[in-house]
Amino acid sequence: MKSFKINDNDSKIPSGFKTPEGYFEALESKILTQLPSHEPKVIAFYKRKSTWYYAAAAAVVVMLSIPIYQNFFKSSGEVDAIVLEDYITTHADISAEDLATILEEEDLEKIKLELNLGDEAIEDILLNNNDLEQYILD
Amino acid sequence: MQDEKNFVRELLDPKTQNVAFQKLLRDYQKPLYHHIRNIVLNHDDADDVLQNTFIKVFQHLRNFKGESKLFSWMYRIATNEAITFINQKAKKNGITSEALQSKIVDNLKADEYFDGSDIQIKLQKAIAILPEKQQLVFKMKYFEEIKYEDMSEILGTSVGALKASYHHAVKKIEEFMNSR
Repeated sequence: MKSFKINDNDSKIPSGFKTPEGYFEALESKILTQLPSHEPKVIAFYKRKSTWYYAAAAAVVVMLSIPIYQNFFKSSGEVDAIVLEDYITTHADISAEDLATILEEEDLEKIKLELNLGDEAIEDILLNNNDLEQYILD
Repeated sequence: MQDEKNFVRELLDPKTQNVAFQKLLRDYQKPLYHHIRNIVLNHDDADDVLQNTFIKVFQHLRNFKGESKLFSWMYRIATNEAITFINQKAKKNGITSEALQSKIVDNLKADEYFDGSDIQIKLQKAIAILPEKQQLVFKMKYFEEIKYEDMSEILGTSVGALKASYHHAVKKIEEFMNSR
């Protein structure tokens, strides 16, 4: 008896498997109905990455604008010294005598230091000031 | 290769996807069915695995990078699905996958979707005693006539190793067929 040889093409053995009648014809529609649809995925608002990015950006903007806001609307009790001086000299109906009365001793000392007048300068002012007698009397 | 690139583009474009996928189904349903059937042996099981394979192909198309041929990629999915199926079925029955396949082969004569002769049943029994990888290589070469180069892409094994595996499988089968 001839021994069985796999590589003998004359005696190639098929698998023997068969399919039901019309199997492949029906298969296509069976598979197509099972495929996922193309509906856009609905993602909850709070789950979207973009929501968190926008929230983070908004938080940064708010944090940065707080100091700017505070600076812009700052109601300072202090008025700029130069502005005040300019106002007093150009607008205020206030004399040097009134100023001398209003200002405190320490303010006058401060002015004296700032002016930093030498003795010659003081003598010059006294000599040229006609109201000197009046100041002495007051 | 360019034709395949264009075809994959059509498969990924929602406007052309349905028509392209129907063509894919028509071109590959029979060879993939026979490949799967050779592994799982039973028609109903092959039907389940084939449908799962095509659904997986559809779902993972955007991951196909074109590093292998499209059909190699699909065969790889089909092979993995079939082997996983067999292993899960064997586990459910509390036996090994080899034992399960032997059991199925022993009952082939009673299978309404098997019209093989005694020698065909004997050949299936001979194949069932081989290690899993050798069985696969033998079936793909002998029944499906897949080239070694394509088989290498599908199974991720070198051509040399596949040739050696087939050679060993042939020797054992011939011994079995000629001994009884």
